[in-house]
Amino acid sequence: MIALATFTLPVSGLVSVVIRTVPGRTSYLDAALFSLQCQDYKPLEVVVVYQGPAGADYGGLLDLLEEYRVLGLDIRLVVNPANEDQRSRNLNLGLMAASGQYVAFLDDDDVVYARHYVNLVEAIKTSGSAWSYGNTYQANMKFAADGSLYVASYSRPFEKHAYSFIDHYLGNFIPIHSFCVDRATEIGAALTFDESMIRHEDYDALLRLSSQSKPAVSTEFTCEYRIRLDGSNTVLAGTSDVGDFKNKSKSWAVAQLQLERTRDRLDTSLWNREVFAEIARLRGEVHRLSLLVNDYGGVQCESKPLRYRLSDKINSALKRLPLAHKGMRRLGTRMDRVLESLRRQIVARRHRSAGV
Amino acid sequence: MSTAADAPAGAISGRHLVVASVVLYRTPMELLRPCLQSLARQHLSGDVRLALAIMDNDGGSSLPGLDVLLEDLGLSGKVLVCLAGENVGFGRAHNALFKACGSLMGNRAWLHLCVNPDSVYHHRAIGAMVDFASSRDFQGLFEARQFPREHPKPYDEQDFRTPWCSGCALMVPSAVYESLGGFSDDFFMYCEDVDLSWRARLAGLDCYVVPAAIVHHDVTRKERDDAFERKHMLLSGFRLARRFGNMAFAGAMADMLRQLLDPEEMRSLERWGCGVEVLHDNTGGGVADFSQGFNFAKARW
Repeated sequence: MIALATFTLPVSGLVSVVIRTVPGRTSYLDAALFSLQCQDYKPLEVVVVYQGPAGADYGGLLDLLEEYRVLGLDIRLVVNPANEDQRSRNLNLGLMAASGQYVAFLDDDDVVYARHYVNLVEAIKTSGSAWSYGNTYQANMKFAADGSLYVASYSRPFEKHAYSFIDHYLGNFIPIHSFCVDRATEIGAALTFDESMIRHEDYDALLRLSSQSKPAVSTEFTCEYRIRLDGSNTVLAGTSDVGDFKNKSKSWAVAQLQLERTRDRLDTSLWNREVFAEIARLRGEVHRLSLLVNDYGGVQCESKPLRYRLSDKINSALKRLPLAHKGMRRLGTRMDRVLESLRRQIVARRHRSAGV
Repeated sequence: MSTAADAPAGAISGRHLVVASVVLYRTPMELLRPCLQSLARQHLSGDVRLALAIMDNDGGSSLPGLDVLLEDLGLSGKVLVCLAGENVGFGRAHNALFKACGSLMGNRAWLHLCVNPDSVYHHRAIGAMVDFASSRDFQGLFEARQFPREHPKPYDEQDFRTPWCSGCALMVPSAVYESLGGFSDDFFMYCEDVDLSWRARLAGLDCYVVPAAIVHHDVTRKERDDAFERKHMLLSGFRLARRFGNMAFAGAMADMLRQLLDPEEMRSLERWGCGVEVLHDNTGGGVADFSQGFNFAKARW
């Protein structure tokens, strides 16, 4: 166990990877550590935050960490003996123990590819942003007869090659191990996790982070979010037991309410630029298509009032920013429908003109 | 060049001897270091001994740097065989290493382990492979599980049989290697492992993935020469198809190769195709699967 008292300046260039773990997960942790052992990025330190009773050898944890130390991994261990779920506090404990300029996180059952931190640090350096993220595969895992986990399939639910504030506001596409924060920046140094949250704690922190700094993006897929199809992750996917499902659903619902509060408090001045740009784009599109319809004649009388009606809605939505993002999405959907309708009219009119 | 005669006698003791065989071709030492380091730091039980066999396919250009690296990692005393020659490709180089090891072994059995120089072995991987192979009486081909991105070909989650074994981290018991005649000389690179696996299955042996043995092999960071790799992939696909009697697949490969090879090379390849011994009829003996392209088995994703 290490003392967490004094704050020192982060070590320049060092990447600290914080891993949370609990008893009974050394087999998962083994794979996570192996993926860190094989990283191209150097220097790198690992901060393992273990929450659980510190008896005997912590269920094999100490032996495992020692094995990787011998193999050359620089590992620190932090112990949190609390009984209740303190996942956010564990992240903060890890942050306090981490000494690197760059900090990243890795859940004990996920893995990163060899170039992960090279890419993330490079993205930060070239962009000047306080943080960066890379793309993540979802690996759907099954247990084989010998108890080993294997990949049954891959999917790409988090794929995002360009960052969007709006999309991030609507849902998290940046899993906890896919980003890296530069603590040499003021924004990065202020990173903390809300310890009242036991779900969505990473999303909550990222929303606050992104309201201050747009992340750099490394478009390559360099990590895996591993979902065990037996439902033993904290996510709802794969959970078949009714009791488990209810408990998990409740935890997620509570976290969702907490997230809403975070969203309400966010400074969205950075985000508004994107919202305005999107509105301008949609308005331009409506205008362009309306003119096209007019060129073909026929719907002019209807299109002008429609445009004014849409403008009114947009302006009204703007007045309600920053709380208008969901409204924007609905408005966007409605505008999409309008655009689609206009497109259909154009096609129909072209067909008529061509005598089809 | 061979240093086989210098191999320390202790290197081939132990109940199970694993000879980690590495083929180099202008391999940067910074790439090779993690690989050899992972071999040096294997956790092996007392009855498993690890030795090294190395072939430099670039006439020995890597050997000065290699000597320093081996010394640094404390592996110099574990080198059983070190050969150098022209670039004969993957399979033939392993055959040469196997033969050189055999000349030292007498009647002793050993486990030939094909080690890709850009792979890193988990510290318990080789022990897990030996245990698994032992549980199958050393009958078959045994492949470590690639990590973090697994190879897409399937394996049975109950008995771990797989349609073919990748040569990236492949353990072949010496008796099996010998009975199959090793890798075919027909292949320079690619598909020689599929060919060996299918011949093993035709001979009644099984191919296995060893789930507890993980080997880091991150193909996403590989610097590729796409034109070179594509040409050799197609050549090997053509040869594999001819050997297993699939004329449609061979024809498709030949059509693409005509765009890449000069006329004389193409004629030479076709002459080879006409003269080759077809190992099985167009059903491939029930083991060959060309329906999934170069996956040679239905992929998991």
